[in-house]
Amino acid sequence: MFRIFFLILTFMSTQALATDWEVQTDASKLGFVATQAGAEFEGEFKRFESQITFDPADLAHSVVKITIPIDSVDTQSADRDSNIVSSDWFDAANHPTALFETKAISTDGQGGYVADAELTMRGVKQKVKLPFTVEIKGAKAHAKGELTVQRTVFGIGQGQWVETSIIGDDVRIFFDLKSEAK
Amino acid sequence: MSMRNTHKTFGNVAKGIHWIMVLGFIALYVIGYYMTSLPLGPEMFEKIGIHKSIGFIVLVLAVLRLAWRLINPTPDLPDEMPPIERLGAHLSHIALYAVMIVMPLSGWAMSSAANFPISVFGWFTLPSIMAPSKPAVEFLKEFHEVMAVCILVLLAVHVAAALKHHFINKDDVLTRILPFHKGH
Repeated sequence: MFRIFFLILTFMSTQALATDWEVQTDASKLGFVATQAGAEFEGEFKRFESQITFDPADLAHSVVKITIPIDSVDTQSADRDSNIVSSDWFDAANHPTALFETKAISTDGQGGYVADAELTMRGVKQKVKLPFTVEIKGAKAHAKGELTVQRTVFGIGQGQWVETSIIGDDVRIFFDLKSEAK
Repeated sequence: MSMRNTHKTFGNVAKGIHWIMVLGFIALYVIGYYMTSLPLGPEMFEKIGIHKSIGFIVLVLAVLRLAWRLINPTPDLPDEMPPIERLGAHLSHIALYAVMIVMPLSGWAMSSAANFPISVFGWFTLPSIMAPSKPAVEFLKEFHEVMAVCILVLLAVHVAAALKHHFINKDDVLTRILPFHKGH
């Protein structure tokens, strides 16, 4: 009986080799850069929940899952923020969160990583590739990365906003996360 | 006809900037009032973008114009002009130069305060001149609107004075700024 228990315990501990990380939200930023009438502006999501298991030596068991409440958007313009959550844009009433979930993480051969992930926004799930870097010092980790998505693929911007000459199609999503090992 | 001003008439540079600016002002007013009447949508953003771009060009021209004025003689006012009218002319010209600078700057500041950066005709993006702030946006919006009306009054006085000089005083104050006018 004990033998089996220890076997299970040993098995579980090898499974849990990759470290779990707690994001220090105040020191981190999850934002985006979009284009409006030819000029870029930056916004960020003030709140997000993350479940991060990451170990450079155990990428197979490394997983990142980030849930973003759309209504935490802040583009330093209350008018624009209230538009972003409206039905033409993120339709936060029906799709309150965006979800980013990795399926596989591999090295890029230059000290960085690439995550094959799924990004769900406004109810549309798309496969994305996210290149990122991680610096681990003891129990602290600093991860950075960015990817560019086309907003219209997710149906973000309906009706008159489908047109992309004024509000650009490309949106650069970036993150700068500081976390501590749990 | 020279590029430079003389004590009698304006040169081509001053005339050119004056009339380009007239076109700029007309465009700014027409687009300005039109865009604020539009519902929220791509067309509104497009028109605001054009308004901001023209406003920036006017600001640059205003600076060039002031610099040009400093290194050129200014044509004399007619000898027979009474002192009170001379004072009025000087004050209204100072006010016109002031608004050419202040009005675009208030628009630029409003854009910065609203975190809506300005792309000048898609050529380049202007840097932000103040931190985002909702109260600042509201104040600047009000200021821009009230100033727009004040400037219209100022322009009306400017045009009326020019016409008075031409048709009542029958002097050369209007003709010496006209394009293609040979002057003296």
